Amino acid sequence: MFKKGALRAATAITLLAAGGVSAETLTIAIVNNGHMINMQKVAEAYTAETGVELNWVSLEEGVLREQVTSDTATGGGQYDIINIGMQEAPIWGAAGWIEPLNFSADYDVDDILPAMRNGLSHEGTLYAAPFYGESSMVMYRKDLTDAAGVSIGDNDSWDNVKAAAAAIHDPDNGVYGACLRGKPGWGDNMAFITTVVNSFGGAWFDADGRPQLDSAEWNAAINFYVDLLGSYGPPGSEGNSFNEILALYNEGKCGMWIDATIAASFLEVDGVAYAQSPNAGNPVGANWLWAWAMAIPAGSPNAEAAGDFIEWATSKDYVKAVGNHPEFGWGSVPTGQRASTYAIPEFQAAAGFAAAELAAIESAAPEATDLKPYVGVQFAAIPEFPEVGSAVAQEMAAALSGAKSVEDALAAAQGAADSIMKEAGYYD
Amino acid sequence: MSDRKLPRLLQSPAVLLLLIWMLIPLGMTLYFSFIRYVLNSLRRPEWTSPSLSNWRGFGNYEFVLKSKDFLFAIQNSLFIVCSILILTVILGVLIAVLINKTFPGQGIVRVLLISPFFVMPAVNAVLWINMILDPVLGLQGIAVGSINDLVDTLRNAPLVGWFFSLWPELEPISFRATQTSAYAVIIMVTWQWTPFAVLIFMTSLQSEDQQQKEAAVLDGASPWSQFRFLTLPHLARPIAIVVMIQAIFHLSLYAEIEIVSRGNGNKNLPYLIGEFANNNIGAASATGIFAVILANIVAFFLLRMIGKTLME
Repeated sequence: MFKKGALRAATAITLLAAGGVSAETLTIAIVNNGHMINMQKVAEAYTAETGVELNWVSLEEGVLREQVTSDTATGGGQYDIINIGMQEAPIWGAAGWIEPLNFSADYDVDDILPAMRNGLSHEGTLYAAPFYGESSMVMYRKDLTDAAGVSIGDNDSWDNVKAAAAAIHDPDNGVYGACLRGKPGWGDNMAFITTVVNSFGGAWFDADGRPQLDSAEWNAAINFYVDLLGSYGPPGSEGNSFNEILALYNEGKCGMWIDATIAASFLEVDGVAYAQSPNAGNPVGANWLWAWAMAIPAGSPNAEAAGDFIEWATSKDYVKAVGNHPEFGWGSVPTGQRASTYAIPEFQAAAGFAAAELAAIESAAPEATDLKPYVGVQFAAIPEFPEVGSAVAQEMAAALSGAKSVEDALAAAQGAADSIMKEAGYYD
Repeated sequence: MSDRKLPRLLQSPAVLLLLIWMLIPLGMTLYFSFIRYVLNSLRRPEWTSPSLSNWRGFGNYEFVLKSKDFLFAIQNSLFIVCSILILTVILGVLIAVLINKTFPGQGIVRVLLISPFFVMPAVNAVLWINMILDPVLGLQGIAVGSINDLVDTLRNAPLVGWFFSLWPELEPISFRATQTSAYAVIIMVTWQWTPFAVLIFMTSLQSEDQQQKEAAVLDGASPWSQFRFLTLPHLARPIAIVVMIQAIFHLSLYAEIEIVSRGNGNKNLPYLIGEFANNNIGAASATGIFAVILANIVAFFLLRMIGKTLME
């Protein structure tokens, strides 16, 4: 008897506590990069205004993905708001794992850049609100290209870019012509490699989901990539991704870098010029498109409060709040999500790369087309892609290391991708 | 009979608890390895929850066996583990014998020697790969660069210039490359675990029979013979223990592989499990079962080896 009573009391207390807390506390899983970390500070004003307590769980990109995937897939309900990317948003929206987002008229959904809106929607419904977005572009040292008498134009041909890299390549003085991603990972080397393949007219899968890595386009693109980076890249390129190259660039060791537009705000070298990504006759998809966005897991008990917070965190007012914040300023505002941000004079003055970034984002097209029958630019928005992408990434790194020929690496990658897609039930 | 029953009865809750503690995770892994369980399959929503109706038999095992890197992962696991064992035991014995003699500053030297063992594995890997082994910004890149510069200046020197002009230009090695990433892991783990071996061997050396040693010296035995016929046999048991403990730890290396090369040219079964666990829980579980089998095979041989040295 006593036991039962005690159990009941304990349950009641737990329920009370849970009820009391959940009414005003949101648990938010975020990726630990600059803009998100800043948000924790800026959101103190939100808590002061609304009384909603915010409980931040800040994780490294890969860990966050793993955590959020298993939590969402199993309906764990640990989080009220999750940070997801463009790869997940349409898939999870289709699977019903995240709630559709409806915002008030003040929010001005049409102000969100169309490429972002399309990439985060499934069948016209927005499932995640972009917190910041990015594309890719060429960032090069104007002093070096001028000295060598070469130039890099917008959407230049790959041959010209290679010639420019050759002209500024000076390893004896510690300057390498081209710094490009080589570290294996679907979000690392494959993000860049996929844009090269796209620009050569290749695609990951056909309409049935059969991998196309044995196509002539992939072969030409990878041969070009391995040759360019092998001849004019820094030693150890197979270990370089965004952060490593940023460090090299800021040490003055890179002449040219093609990577995320967000990099421009971290460059500490003078005389950097920007150009739209090169292509080999197929400009659509020559630059990538990515957004870190906020979504609400299905069945969250605090869906309404979560929706309000997302509306605030991805609004025009948030951008202003960061710009006017004593600790941050206009150089640190999240970009790439709203057209209106680019019209703010203070932002234009603080960000020299703004025009190039906006042009790159606007030219990116994530929708499925005849050429690539899946959503996504530098990835495919299918659940199996991370698995396929990682397997292929390792083969590409092996080709770059010279451990395998491009042909062998692509054949092995095709085999691995084929077995994963078969396993996933796309075809027999 | 009855005087045995009572203790057994009293022990049984603890034994039962231990059994449950072990059997439930193992049982779940076994169960998942025989069904289709894919975290986010859009094509087959029925696969997204674990259920008996998705029974697949040995299909997951077949998929894992045929997957690109399975055999390579086992081969590579054994290569890494054996290399680290050989290196740590040799280095450990040498260092332990060296610092077993009394010398000034002994305490500080011992503390410094043992300190790598207290560095966390992930920190160890980040430190080595970025600050020491990196071909451009790391110590290696800087060293190779300055040697090249030095040779370059010496080439222009009178008289000896011709000699240095025969020297080749050194190229830094990329330790993240397919061909070398396994070596990077071996280097960093050896650096971390040698202190463990030193610690064990040092403790054991202190119990070495000094009278026997003195007798050997009086008989005119050379230092090498003393080492070969007295010290090494004395160390047989601690060596066996070091080998066993390290083998168990190094079969499950993960952080170092992830940080050095993300599995490019270098992976083991735990890493393969990690790759599957993103989505395909069935395949990850089947790989887990393979890993259990491999660990048991290794443990079987090691235990026999240890058993032998303990019997002697």
